[in-house]
Formats: sequence, C-alpha cells, structure tokens
Amino acid sequence: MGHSPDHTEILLVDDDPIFRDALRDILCDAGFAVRDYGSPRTVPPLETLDNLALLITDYEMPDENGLAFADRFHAVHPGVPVLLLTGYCAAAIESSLRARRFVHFCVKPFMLDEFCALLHRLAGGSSSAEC
Amino acid sequence: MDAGTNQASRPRRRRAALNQAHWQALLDTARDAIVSIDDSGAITLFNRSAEAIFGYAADEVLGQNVTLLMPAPVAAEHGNHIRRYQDTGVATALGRIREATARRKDGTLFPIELSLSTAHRDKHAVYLAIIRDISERRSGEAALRRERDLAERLIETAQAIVLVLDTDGRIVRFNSHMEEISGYRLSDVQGKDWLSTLLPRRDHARIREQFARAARGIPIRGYVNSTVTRAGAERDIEWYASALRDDSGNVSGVICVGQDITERRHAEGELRALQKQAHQRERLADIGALTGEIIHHLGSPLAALSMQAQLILRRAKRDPEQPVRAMLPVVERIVDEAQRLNALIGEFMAFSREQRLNLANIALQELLGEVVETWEPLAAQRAITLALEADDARACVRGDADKLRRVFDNLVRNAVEAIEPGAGRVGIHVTLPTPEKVRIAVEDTGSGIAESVQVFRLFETTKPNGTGLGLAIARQIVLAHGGNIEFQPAQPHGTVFHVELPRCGPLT
Repeated sequence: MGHSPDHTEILLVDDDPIFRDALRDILCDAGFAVRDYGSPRTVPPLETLDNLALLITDYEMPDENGLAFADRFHAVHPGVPVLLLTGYCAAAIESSLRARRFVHFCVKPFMLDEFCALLHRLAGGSSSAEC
Repeated sequence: MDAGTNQASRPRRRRAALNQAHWQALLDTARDAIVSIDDSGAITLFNRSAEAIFGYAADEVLGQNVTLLMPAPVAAEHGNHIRRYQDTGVATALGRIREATARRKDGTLFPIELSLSTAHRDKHAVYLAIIRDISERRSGEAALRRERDLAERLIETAQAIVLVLDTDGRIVRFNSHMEEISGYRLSDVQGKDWLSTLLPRRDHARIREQFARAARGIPIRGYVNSTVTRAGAERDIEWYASALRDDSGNVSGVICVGQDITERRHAEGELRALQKQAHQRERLADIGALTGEIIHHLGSPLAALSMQAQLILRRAKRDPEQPVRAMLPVVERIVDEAQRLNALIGEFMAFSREQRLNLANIALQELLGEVVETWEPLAAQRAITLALEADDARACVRGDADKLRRVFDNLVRNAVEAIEPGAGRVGIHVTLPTPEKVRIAVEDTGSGIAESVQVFRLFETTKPNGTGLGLAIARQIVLAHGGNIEFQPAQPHGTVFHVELPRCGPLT
C-alpha cells in the first residue's frame, strides 16, 4: 500500500459532478494524478488500468452501486485499497463493509483534514503536499 | 203448499192453477233455499235452490222431519222450539234474520243465513224458511281476517318501527318495536303531534317539510333523523314513508317504516376510524421511504458544497496571496449548488404541504393565460410558439387555483424544455369531452419521452438538473381534484399530456 512513483494515480468514480470536481481538485492539489469518471460504466476496462494507488468510489450511483463496483475492482486489483464514500446510509451497509476488509469508508460530507489523513494512510502521498 | 181438495168452479180452479204455476216459478227461480214445514216438523216444500244447497232431491225429503237438515245438537232442540211456540205463541227465531249452521246430505255442516216466518192455515201452523248458503262469504271473511291477523302480527313482530300518522302529523298508531325504542306506550301519545312529541326541536323545520312531501304522496326513502326517547336519549332512525289513501284515493295519512341505525352508525364510525388509522400507518411508511429519498437528495449537494468550500479554504490557507479571481470557478460552483439545494427544498415543501384544496370556481382560459404569460419569455428566446386554444372560452372548473396553476406551470415548462434548440411549438388546448368534464391537452414538438421513463414517479427525471418532483406533484394535485393525468406520443414527434378534471370539483 506504499506510495511509490509507480503507484500515484487515484481512480475516482462519483455521479455528482460538482462533488467530483471539488474532490479531484483537492487530490490534484495533494499531488496525486487523478482519473475521474461519473459512473462505473464509463470507467475503461479494469484490466487496462495500472499504477493505481487507490480507488475512491461513491456508494449510491444509478448504474451500479459502489460496493458491487469495488468487488469487481478488487477481483482485478487485489492489492489496491478502496475508499468508499457513503451518504447517510453508512449504518445500513455496515455489515457489508465489515465483510470486505479491503474497503474503507468515509461518510459524506466529510472534513478534509480527516479525509486527508485517511488518504495518506491508504495511498501514501508526498510529504510536500498539504493534503 | 196445500193444493186444496175443495170442489171449486172451473174458472176458479183455473185461476188457482195459474196461481200455483206462478208460485212454482217464483220458488224455482229464487236463489235462496225455500223450505216449509208443518207443525209436526215435516217438510212440505223444498225448492230447487234447496236441492242445490242441501244436496237432496225434493222427493227425498218431502214428508221427512226438517231436523234432517240440521246438525245434531240443533236438531235435538228443534221439537222443543216448535212445541214452545205452539204452547206460548212466543217465538225466538221468527221474524228476523239470523245466522245458523245447516247440514248437507253428505253430512257436512255449513253456515247459513236463515229467516223464518209462519202462517196459519186451518188452525195448523205452517213454517216457511228462507235459507242462504253463506259459506263463501264466511270463507272470504275468514281469509280477510287471516290476512289482517298476519299483517298485524308482522307489524308487531317486525324489528322495524311502523308508525301511522294522520294528515296533520298526529300519531294514529305505532307498533311495539316503536314502543321499545321510544319508551312511550302508544296509549300515552296516541293523537299527539309526532313532531313535537318525539323529534328534537332543531329538526322540526326540515322534518315538517319531509312530512308535507309524504302527505302529498311523494314517497320518502332512507331519510335519517333523530328520535328523542322518553328518557331523553336520541336514536338515529332511517325512515321509509308513503301516503295512505282512502277508498276515493285521497291521502288519509302517512305510514312510516323506520329502522334504528344508531348502532350501525356507531359501528360505521368505528370502522372509519380504523380505516383512518390504517391509512395513517401507510402514510407513515410512505413518509419513512420518502424521508430516505429526501436525505439522499439533500445530502449529495450538501456534500458537494462542503467539499467546494473546504477546497477554497485550503487554497486560501496554502497561498494567502492567491487572487480571489483564481477562486471564482469554485465559488460559482458553490452558488449553483446552493441554488440547486434551495430549489430542491422548495419542491419538497410543495410536495409535503397538506393536500387540502382551497376550492373556487376557476375560469380556465384566464388561469392558462397566466401560465402562458409566465413561460412566454423563455419560449420566445428559444423560438418556440406558445398557443392557447379553448373550445369554450368560458369553460370553468371547480378547483384550487394555486395548485392547478402549479400543474400547468409544470407541464408547460416541461413542454418548452423538451424542445431541442430550434423552432418548435407548444399547444394548450381546452375541450369539454362531456358536460361534466374538462380536458386540457399540453402538446409539444419535442423529442418525446422514452418508454422506460416513469415520468410520474417520485424523483424520476431525465433532465440534468431535474428534481424528479414536478410531475409527481402535478399528478398528486390532479388526483386530489378527482381528475386524471396521462401522456402519449404526439404526431409526428413530441409528447401530449392530457389532464382531465371533473368540472364540479372533487367529490367530498
């Protein structure tokens, strides 16, 4: 899970464009390369992706929910952690989360300080970055 | 009759013979049986009707004792009656019509009307009886009596009130069920005014009106009013009443049949309360589901807002010298998102507001004219023609003007937005498919609605910034008005929404 020059890219999937734009800016500010998509459907075939440090995905999306997508992703990239962003429904999916140790979660809206701490834990990150 | 044996002259004999022929004809055509006996009780005359009634031929009975025609107990006394008359001259049976019982040849007994007279001839009494068979009359009377008894028993055993009033509304009679319910005995209130005796004062005017109708011969069906019992309690009675008429067809009174529905009403009230509870539980479940949706819909923009604001904060902290200009794109996103959030809250408010309708008569042309005016600027910008046509310019509907305006606002706005950039047309057409209904069609020349979209479902939207509430709210309003909303593809392309409303408003 260490952050190395080979693994600096974050895959970001969220159907809310305004939220996604803001998060992308934040991640970029933090020195990550970000590939962002509005739906798991529009993400390129998972096998073709490499150098990934982390998947950040929203939970509630119209085409496919974040957990199902995380499972598909994990099957192809078992070493890459997943950060699931949930709304107020986190409690409802708690047991599903416990069953997937590779999935970490964060409840929206979250405070950036806490988020960044988690981000560093999962994806490392350059010490010069403020996030 | 004695033909006589005296020697008379020829003409006298001839006259006597003619006389006898007249008598015979008279006797034989009489409808009543005519029987005469001598003072020993022997039958001396037995006419044709007597033969028919008693079943004997005259030859069989002439010379026989008349007791032959009587039931045994009467026959036993008959000799005594005659002897007493002969001894005392006092007759109990002579000279009046009385009813008695006679016996036919076959032994059957039957009721008769009997009139007896006597004449004397050569010191010997001759008794003449005129007998009428009254069995048919009797059985008719018995049938009538049975019918009357049956009716009486029905009236008394029925678990329904039977009340008869005269044309002035006075109590003529009522049955025991009414006695049980009212606590009054008929004898207590017979002849008294029904209205002032048994009805609450507040009902007098309207019941007097109903009574007058019934007394004019107009039947009353299912009219409910309260009856005040002797103890002062009120019972709800459902009445059926019709006029009673005398032989010449004049109304002689009113017969009322009533059912005490107090308990039934009470039970209905409880049932309604239960239904209301069930409905409330359903509503709560709906509200639960709705709340989840609302939280999700409000939560997303809130998260986005928070993220944007924190982004500004971070950038400002990292580089305090950064010009505000550099922040503009983020600030603009915040403003947009706040607006979206605000619109969403407004829609939720409209949706959650109690659906109580403020009913008034609405001139549709006027209301739709206002809607057209609202959207005219946007339509003009997009080169879209807005056209309002009404078959009947004065078409009115009973409804809630604000809520209906909201429906058509939504439909017209959707219609305008459905048209891709370029010229188009939105037509609003008011028709009266039946005198009771009004139909408003809103038709656009847009690209149409995909079959998979359930436009009336809550949160269903095809627009990038749609809330999915507009048509759900519109449908709810139309349904609350007792109306209907549907849509179909328009030709050659586009969509037409039909709103049908009952002109008299929702049934309460």
